Amino acid sequence: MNSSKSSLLLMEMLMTIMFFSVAGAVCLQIYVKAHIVDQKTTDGNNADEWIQNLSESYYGCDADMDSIKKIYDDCSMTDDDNNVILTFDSDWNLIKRNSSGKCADYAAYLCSTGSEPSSSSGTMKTAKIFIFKLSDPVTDPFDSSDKMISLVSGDENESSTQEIDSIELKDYLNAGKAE
Amino acid sequence: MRTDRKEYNDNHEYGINIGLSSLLLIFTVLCLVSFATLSIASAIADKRLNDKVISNTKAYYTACGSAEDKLQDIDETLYGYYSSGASDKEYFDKTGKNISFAIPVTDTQSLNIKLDILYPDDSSGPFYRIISWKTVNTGSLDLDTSLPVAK
Repeated sequence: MNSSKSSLLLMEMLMTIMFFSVAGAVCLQIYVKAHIVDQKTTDGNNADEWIQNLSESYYGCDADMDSIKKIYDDCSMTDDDNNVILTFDSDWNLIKRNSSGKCADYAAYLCSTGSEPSSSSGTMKTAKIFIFKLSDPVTDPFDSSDKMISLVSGDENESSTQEIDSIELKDYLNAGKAE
Repeated sequence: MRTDRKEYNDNHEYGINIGLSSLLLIFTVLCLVSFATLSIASAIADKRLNDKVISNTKAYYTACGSAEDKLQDIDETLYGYYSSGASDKEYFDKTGKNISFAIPVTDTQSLNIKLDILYPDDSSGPFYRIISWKTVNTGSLDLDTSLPVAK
């Protein structure tokens, strides 16, 4: 009698553990999926915020890259074509020039794509903003600025960066607007 | 009395009863599934809202780009009138004193721009001054306020 009761209990325990393992595995997958979606949302939110910041800087400075660099004086680097690059750590804090040991996990790239004079005295300037997630974070981005520039400007393998968001900007400059 | 207690202890052994672990399992799995469902539902809702915000930002800056194209067209047209040697009266007769236009941003929003037309001293301009650049609501939101009450 005692033996059959023990074996029944053991059987139930085994079934319970098995079912719990299956349910736990499924729920764990759902938690992981939720975490991934949440991470993407956070990245999207911050990317959108920085797209707005850079766009307004672009319009506010009348598409003048030197003036934009002055706004982000301590945090910006530039490539040969005078385009602006900003780097961020894993919490989307801007990495400053003097902060050593910081890893760049994200980057924003504001690049001028054209300047076309119109038949009047105005000029149509165009630019693009890209926000990237770096597959391999870059330690001390200001010390390895060449690597950062080649990463964001697309010279390196595309798998090393993942584009989160991008936008195209146009700014028509005429004498009236420049005043 | 002491004999009764001894008999009771002999008949009833202490330990885990059959069914207790199943009950615990049901409770634990219910908790796991509930919290997992809540977390994924909340994450997906946040993502949907974020996607809307991103598409709205893109729509706004696309509309700004279209507005800049329109400004270029206007500037070139005004430059054409000015270069034809028209006097300021003839110039304003053709152009009017103000120009307003709207660029749709979304189904319910548009970017409204208002310009003052200027007659410059020389052909380097400016031919206009932007006096208003703002997004306005163009449609009323059709919110679903009904309640699914069974009759």
